[in-house]
Amino acid sequence: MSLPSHLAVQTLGLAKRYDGRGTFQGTHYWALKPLDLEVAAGSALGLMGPNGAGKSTLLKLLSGLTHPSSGGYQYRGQMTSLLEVGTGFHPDLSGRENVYLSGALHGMTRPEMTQRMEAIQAFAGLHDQYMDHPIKHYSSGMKVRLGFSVAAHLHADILVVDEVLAVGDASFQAKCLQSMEAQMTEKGRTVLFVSHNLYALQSLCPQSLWLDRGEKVRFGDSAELVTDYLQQAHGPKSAFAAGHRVASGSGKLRLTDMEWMAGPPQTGVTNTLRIAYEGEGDQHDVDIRLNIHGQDGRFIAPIAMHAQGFTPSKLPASGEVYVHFEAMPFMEGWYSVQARVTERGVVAYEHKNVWGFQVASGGFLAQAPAYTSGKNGVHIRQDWRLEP
Amino acid sequence: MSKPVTTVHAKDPLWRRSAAEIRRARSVAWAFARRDLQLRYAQTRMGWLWSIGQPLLAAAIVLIVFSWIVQVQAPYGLSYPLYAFAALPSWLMVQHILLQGAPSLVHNQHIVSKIFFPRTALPLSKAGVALVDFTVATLLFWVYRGWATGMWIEGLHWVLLFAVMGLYAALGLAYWIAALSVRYRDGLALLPFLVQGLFLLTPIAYPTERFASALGDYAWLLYLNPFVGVADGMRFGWLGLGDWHDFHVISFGVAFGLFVSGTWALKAVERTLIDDL
Repeated sequence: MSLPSHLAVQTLGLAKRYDGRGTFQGTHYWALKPLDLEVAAGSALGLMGPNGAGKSTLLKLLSGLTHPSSGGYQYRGQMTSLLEVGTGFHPDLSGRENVYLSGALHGMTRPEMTQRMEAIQAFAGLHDQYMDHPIKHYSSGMKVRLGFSVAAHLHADILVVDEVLAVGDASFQAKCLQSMEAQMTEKGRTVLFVSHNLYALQSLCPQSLWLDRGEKVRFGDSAELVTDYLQQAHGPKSAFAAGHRVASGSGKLRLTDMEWMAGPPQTGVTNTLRIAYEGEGDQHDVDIRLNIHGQDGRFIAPIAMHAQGFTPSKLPASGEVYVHFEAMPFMEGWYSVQARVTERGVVAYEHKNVWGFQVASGGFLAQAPAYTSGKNGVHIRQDWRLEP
Repeated sequence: MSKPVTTVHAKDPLWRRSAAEIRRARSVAWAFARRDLQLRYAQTRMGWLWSIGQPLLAAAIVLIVFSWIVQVQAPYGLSYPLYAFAALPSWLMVQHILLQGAPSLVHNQHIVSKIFFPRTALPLSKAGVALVDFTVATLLFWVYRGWATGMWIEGLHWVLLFAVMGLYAALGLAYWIAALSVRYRDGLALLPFLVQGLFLLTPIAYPTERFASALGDYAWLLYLNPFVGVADGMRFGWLGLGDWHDFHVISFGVAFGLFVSGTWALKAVERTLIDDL
């Protein structure tokens, strides 16, 4: 095998099989089925898939933590894997000493770390007095910041990162993401990135690999994959088809279906949401609240019955209600719906992820150009003028 | 593109150890050893005085139990403390490496499962503290011997040689137990008994001759325990007792064999370490 010069990593039939032992003798399962993958030098590859898809197994194989059962891989330059933030940190050591220790575990010498110490400290936003203090007195956020900061300053040609953005506060997460982007654009590093934060994954990695149960589902453009992945994960009618097993509430009234009546919604275009429900007896003071979340899980906007002044005192046992949108406010992207229905103030139906829908881009106003941000959001009607 | 390409394949031979890997093992071991030294006497009142206090306490126990209670006599009319303490520093080093090095993989699971580095680095790092302690205890004994006999520089090169032999044997054994502990924790359960048994079966606090005479023609069997060779060697170096005889070669061979095979054993489990640990 020789590695073509434009590639940073290449796997050939790389697979990992776990064999049962003891009482599990004779059983086995493939954590990763034979995988062929090519990652171009200086690019970022995202790995997505549900738990147990084989993402972490792939990273463990590449970082040398475990040996392949068949096939193999090759890479050019130095690979540094970051499967956890702050691995090897010892609570009784000072921040500074922990930086040295963590660096040494990743193959960096003391002088190399001394050189980077200032930058690491600045990135983590820690004062001198903290750096010489045992980290057991740090807040968990400070530890995480220091851990990531060390990782961001290691020298590596290939950086393997697993779910490290799941920690830290939002502003620090944004900073980490920026730093990873800089690693690629400024230092020409290759990044392999696993995250359940699909928004981060999409914005960092142009291309992604979608794994499920150890197998490659698809490889390609991240934005497309994320959309399809979300659609599959919480596809339309998924909760309805699941027979409400995951819903909670008294059950006096249950949502049974939701649908955009004018077809796939498009920003700025008229559409009507049909909400079907069923239940027993007359329904009094029903309030339906749908919380719309973006694909990174952040709350975007409510669709709420009472809050919009629609308060029928009595509804039939089963039926339908409609929400009309003159101009679809949601911008291009995938949205998931969290539902909460109350009847006479009692929660009748509650579901964290009842439905999802994709919005296509379009001008918010007729003849106006589409506003593309690449992020979820809503367009708010506004009045622009030259006088107040 | 001058960067080196690393290739890994399922069918790679088990025994493949590059110079870079050995360098890496050393630098990681040094980092861990440094950590251990920094934390050594954290939150103790006496701090570094313990590195003097510990060998003195060990010596006191040996003196009380073996000399006063059991009334062991040193051969050739030597004073008992001089005889017994000659081999004590090396034993304390061996004991530290075994007790700390053997369970080091299991104790550091959280690190081992997240970062790859040559696995010998962890047990190896325990030799750091052990060597510091050995140096302190050896200095204490050196002063004691100088005061008692007037000998200051005699035999020190032998002491060094046999200390290295003890180091290799202890590391080899620690590697083996650490490698086995990945899948079988039994070794760790047995560890305290192993260390205690080795202490009693190795003529540290009593004369080698007592043991050897019991074995008669099979006295050489004794030297399959490399620590017997170390203890003998220490007394040879410090006190000029005994001679450089064939039996030591057996101990040297076993020590070297343990080290090489132990390194290999750890290397062999490295591949599936985190699957089994």
